[in-house]
Amino acid sequence: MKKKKQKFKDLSPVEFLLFRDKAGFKRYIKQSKRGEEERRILLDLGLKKIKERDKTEFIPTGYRKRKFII
Amino acid sequence: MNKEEIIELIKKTESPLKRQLLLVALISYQLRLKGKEIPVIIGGLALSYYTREVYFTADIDLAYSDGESLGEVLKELSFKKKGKYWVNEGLKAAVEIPVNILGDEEAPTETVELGPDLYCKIIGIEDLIIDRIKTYKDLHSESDGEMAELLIMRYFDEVDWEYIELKAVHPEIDVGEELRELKGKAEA
Repeated sequence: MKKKKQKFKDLSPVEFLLFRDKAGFKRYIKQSKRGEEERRILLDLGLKKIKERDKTEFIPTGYRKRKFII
Repeated sequence: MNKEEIIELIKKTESPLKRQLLLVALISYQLRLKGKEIPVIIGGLALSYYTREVYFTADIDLAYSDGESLGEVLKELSFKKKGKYWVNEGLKAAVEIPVNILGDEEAPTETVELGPDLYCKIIGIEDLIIDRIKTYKDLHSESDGEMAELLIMRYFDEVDWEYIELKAVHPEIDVGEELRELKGKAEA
């Protein structure tokens, strides 16, 4: 079966943010804990992603200075 | 790049982080043209930057002391004030200025270059880590605890530990125990 390619949808978050603000909703807080193994796996994945993007897109140019490749 | 070219680039860019940083760089550029200081990115967008979009945010939080000048620039860029946000529907952007100064945040900021003479400033990594740990403690926010741990793992060798550890035990902040817990986990 051919995999359906999902088209990028450039939706605006503005309407949603304004609705939340008007309704008086505060920031969403996730209070439920993850299992330790799941947490570790997700953190490792996150760290891997950061390191990958650091190599190609966030080039250090000085102390606390980086060039973000657009 | 001039204002119009930057706006076109923002519209063409898919990555939310790139769009948001370009927009802050444009706001900063316009303020510099008026001889003003530039704002500092705080909150979710700072976290999105330091985590390279592992975390994502819909709005842009800025710290800036001269609200009048910033409002003037935002109006020039076709932003309109709606509730707590300045919004630009065309650029699909919402800017909030929750604080007018960086209070106790004193760690050196990070400068991000996005093009020739196009840059923005981001809150220092140490202050962002403390901010997330405080939310983790006060609001029992597990996601903020995870993000603080991720930041500690990534920037372990870069952060000023003396500054963080001193700030964490300040009576008004009081997150020394939580910092030790997350640092221990990151080291494991």
